[in-house]
Amino acid sequence: MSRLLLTLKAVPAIGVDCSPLTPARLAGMSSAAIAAIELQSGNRRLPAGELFDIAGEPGDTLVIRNACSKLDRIGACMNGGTLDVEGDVGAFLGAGLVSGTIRVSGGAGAFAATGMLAGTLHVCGSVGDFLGAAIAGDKQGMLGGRVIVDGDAGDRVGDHLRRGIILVGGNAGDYCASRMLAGTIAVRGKVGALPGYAMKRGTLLLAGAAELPATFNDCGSHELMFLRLFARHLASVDSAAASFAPRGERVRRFVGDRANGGLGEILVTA
Amino acid sequence: MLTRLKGGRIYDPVNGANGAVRDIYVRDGRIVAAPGDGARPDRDYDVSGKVVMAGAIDMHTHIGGGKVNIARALLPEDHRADLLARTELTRACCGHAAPSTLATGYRYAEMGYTACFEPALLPTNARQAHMEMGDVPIVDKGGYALLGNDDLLLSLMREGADQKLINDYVAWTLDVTQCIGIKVVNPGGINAFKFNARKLDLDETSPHYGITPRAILLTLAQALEDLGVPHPLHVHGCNLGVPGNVDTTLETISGIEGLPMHLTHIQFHSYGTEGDRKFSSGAARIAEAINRNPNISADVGQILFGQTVTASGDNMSQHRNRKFASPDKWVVMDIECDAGCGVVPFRYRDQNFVNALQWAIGLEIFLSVDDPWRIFLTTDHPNGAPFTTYPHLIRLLMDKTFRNEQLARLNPDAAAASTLGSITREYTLNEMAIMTRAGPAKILGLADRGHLGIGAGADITVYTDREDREAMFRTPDYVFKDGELVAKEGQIVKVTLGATHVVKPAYDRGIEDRLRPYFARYRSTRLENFAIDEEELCECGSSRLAVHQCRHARVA
Amino acid sequence: MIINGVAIDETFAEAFGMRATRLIITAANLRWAHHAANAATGFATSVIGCGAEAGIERELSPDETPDGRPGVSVLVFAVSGKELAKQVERRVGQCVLTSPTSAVFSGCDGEEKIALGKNLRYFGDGYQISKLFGNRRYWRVPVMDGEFVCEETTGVVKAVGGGNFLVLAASQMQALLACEAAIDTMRKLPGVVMPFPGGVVRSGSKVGSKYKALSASTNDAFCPTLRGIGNSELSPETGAVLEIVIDGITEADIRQAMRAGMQAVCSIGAGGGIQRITAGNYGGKLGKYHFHLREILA
Ligand SMILES: [Zn+2]
Ligand SMILES: [Zn+2]
Repeated sequence: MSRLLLTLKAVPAIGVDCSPLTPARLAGMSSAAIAAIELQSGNRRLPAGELFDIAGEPGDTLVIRNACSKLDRIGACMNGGTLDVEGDVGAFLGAGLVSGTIRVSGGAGAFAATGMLAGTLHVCGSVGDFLGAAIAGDKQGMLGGRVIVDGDAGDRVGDHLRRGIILVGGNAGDYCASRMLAGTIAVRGKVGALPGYAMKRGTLLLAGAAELPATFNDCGSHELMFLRLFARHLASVDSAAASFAPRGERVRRFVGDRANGGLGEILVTA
Repeated sequence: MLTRLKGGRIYDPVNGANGAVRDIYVRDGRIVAAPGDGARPDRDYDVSGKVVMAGAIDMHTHIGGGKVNIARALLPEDHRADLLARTELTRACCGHAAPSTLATGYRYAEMGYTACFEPALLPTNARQAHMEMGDVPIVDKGGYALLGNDDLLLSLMREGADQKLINDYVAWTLDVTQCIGIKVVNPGGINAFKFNARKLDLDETSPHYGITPRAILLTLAQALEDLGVPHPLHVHGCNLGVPGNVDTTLETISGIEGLPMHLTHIQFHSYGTEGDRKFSSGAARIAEAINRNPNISADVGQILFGQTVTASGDNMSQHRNRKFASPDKWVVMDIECDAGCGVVPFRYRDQNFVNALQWAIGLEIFLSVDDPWRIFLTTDHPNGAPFTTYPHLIRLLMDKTFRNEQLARLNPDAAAASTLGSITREYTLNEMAIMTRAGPAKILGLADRGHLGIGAGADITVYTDREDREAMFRTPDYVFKDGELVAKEGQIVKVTLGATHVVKPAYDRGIEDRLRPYFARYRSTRLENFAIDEEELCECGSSRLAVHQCRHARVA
Repeated sequence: MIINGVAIDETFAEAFGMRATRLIITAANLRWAHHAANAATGFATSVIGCGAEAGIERELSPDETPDGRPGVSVLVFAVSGKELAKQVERRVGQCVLTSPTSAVFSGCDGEEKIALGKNLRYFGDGYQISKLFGNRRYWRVPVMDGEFVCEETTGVVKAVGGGNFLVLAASQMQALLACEAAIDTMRKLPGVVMPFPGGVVRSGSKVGSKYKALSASTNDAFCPTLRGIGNSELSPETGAVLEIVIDGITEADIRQAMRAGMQAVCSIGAGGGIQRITAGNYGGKLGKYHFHLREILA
């Protein structure tokens, strides 16, 4: 299968919108045409060829090498194919992802997976705030698909999450699952203050004792069979972030946020 | 510098030109008489065969003040989805339903509009509203100060204050807020909402103050009549959007007892309760009442399908409408005991029975009011649709075939419930010039706008006469603002500043002695800081204060 | 054709196109999975009176079920997708949702989907929870022993209903023993159910009746007590006839089940009192599928 390699030549001074660089968009284009694609950077537009060395054949797989946190909107609205990033990336990674797989070997900035519809996003490092969260004004965050973060995530993971699964292998920051509407978030490490703040629906799965808001009501310890379905669904995911199955299905179930009549659940494994 | 527009077909109803071919000369921002034979124009535009009109005037469009900003803040997606990159001349801007100030000015000017009037300028928000409008480039602006729900007026009325005192308060308000008219929104109702009333009919006494909307309307209309303010009381009536409100509106018309009154977005006030769904058109009855009462004028507030946002001072009706918010988010708030504010995003759908009938009702009113001098083309931007839909609306009014094609696409029950299909009237270019230029200028008292006579401000729009009126009115060939070419073929070519139109009726300054303690006790601004002067206006983007004459004030 | 002394008639079973789905019912243990499945597939012998024909296909080991618990797979057949949807919802709602520890999943990916938990979820009165894992949506409905988990929809496939054969024996008990043996073998095969009680039916029917209100009536030609009158199909030696009816996902499934069943009957043979195997049909004009006995056994 053909692969296109884009190697960043030097760290740009300010952020670059890399959303035009997706496998489907570049498929069938000549190197010259790819080099000529204009990328917005601040109030200027830079040809891709000025930023990247271009090698290989465009096809199903696009590899971005030497990436850095100045590269924003990588894989945004991508529809199909595989995007493999070596290095760190900036904000809005995989925003509005329609389908396909994005894998980042390093970390990512804020608002990764916001508005994502389907597909898989795997960040091997840590991500910034607002993972899978709604951008300002939007009523819904991530809308579907699967996000795996091996490292830590910042504040407001899954704010207004509508659908989909977010797995965090490390710790998550404050307001994890705030205003969540549906979907599933699982955090293996610790969470910061006020998890589930203003949560309406959905599931936040936590690995150990956590300080929950007073507006989550303890519904007791239960064996929930659906967790087995969840574990089986994640069986193929190659990340420690997905390893829930060994803990079994016994969880303590807290329902809230009752402050706004929410029926979300925080499930804490023993 | 002398500019000539050569050989255009002039549509200037004020001066009796209905397609007459003649040249127009402009010097120093004004239209001047043809100079003698020897004079050679510095700039010459060959507009032969083209349609020449005065710049269009939008007499009711929400372009400034708190609620527009709230709408913008509420709908970032509206801005994200509609981006305009900067050019050499214009700055980057955005927004569809609630466009930014810059987008507002550019788009109005590109469509040949040269003046826009913000109809709901809360006195307590006046400074912010003027600053915001100052940021709207090119077009002239003006505002109508909101009264009729303010604690002060209602208290005065409860006390049985003399009309003279109220007149002074009204005139003072116009003066210090730099406005050209007075608007009342849901008279007494906004205030009553705060006392937990959820409706207030024309003859219902309001909680706390014990006065009726009818009395508020009469008092304010009388004040404007006494002060000689050209613009009649601008009324957003009771029961907006409520089926059956056609009766309220007809009673409002008769209840004003012959005083001049402008009924705004009357489409939203023309609903009957007939039919299976208890929602029907009251357009015929409303149009008949307007035709019969020469003291009444109206703008339509046409709805057009698509996403928009409704922003109104009428917190009572907006609170009722919150259920229909799409996307589902809304704001209803009090503004300093002065008035209220409600912002509810809305999507009008052509397959929805109510929306489709609203569309038809608006058009029925347009086409059934005989006198184009008393009916005005508005969508109550952005409440019925963004102002950028005007060219489409103009085509609906000027092209019966097009109109019927659109009608055929609607919810069939709504189409069947409307008489629109049987109406054959098509607006002429001359009528369009009245409705969008001469009429608004006349009803606002803008003596030097809305026409192309000698001495008029050189706000001129030149169109290519196209069968597709939408295309014609969307992209004028030339737009001149105060004699300068600001847009050419739909592109901004020069960015200028617009003036602020105001009236300054005479009043007794002694009123301030009464107001000062009230402001000190109840308001967040002291009286001394409340007034806005010309210098301040010009600092924040207005080119000048254009003061218009009041009719000779009646001697008390 | 005679096998082990059993005469195989030169005739065919006539079967019809149907719509079917497979449900996987799991529980804390097999006993309770069976309780739920038995109830859900009860009173489902014939579409004419029951709306559906259903039965247990087989038991499933924990590693064969979506939730890793023991379970059974159940096949439900109906004359149309719409009727199937109605029957599945009613049966799962009354018999599976109610049964302790149960859960139910789709066991069938058809293009066409019918509701499984989609409407049953409302039993949760607003406390139900949706979980979408991959492209499968599950509902969690709070119930008194925990949560009833059910998949949102199940797939519908085209299927075949009405495969059959008749066993003619010297005595009632000999016919019954042969049919039991046949059913034991047939139940090991996938894709089929034998919807009558114990898989065997004694009231074979013919089309029509002397009573106008009835569309079908007893198959008098095969009733041994009527041997002496009318046009009996039975020889004087035949003491009883029993029938096995088979519904299957595919034509091949039915063929395979019929072969296994008839072979089991034949291996008992004349020595066990089995005389003849025949099949029911309507002259071949009503059903789309014809299963020729001799072809199947060839
Ligand atoms: Zn209004
Ligand atoms: Zn308005």
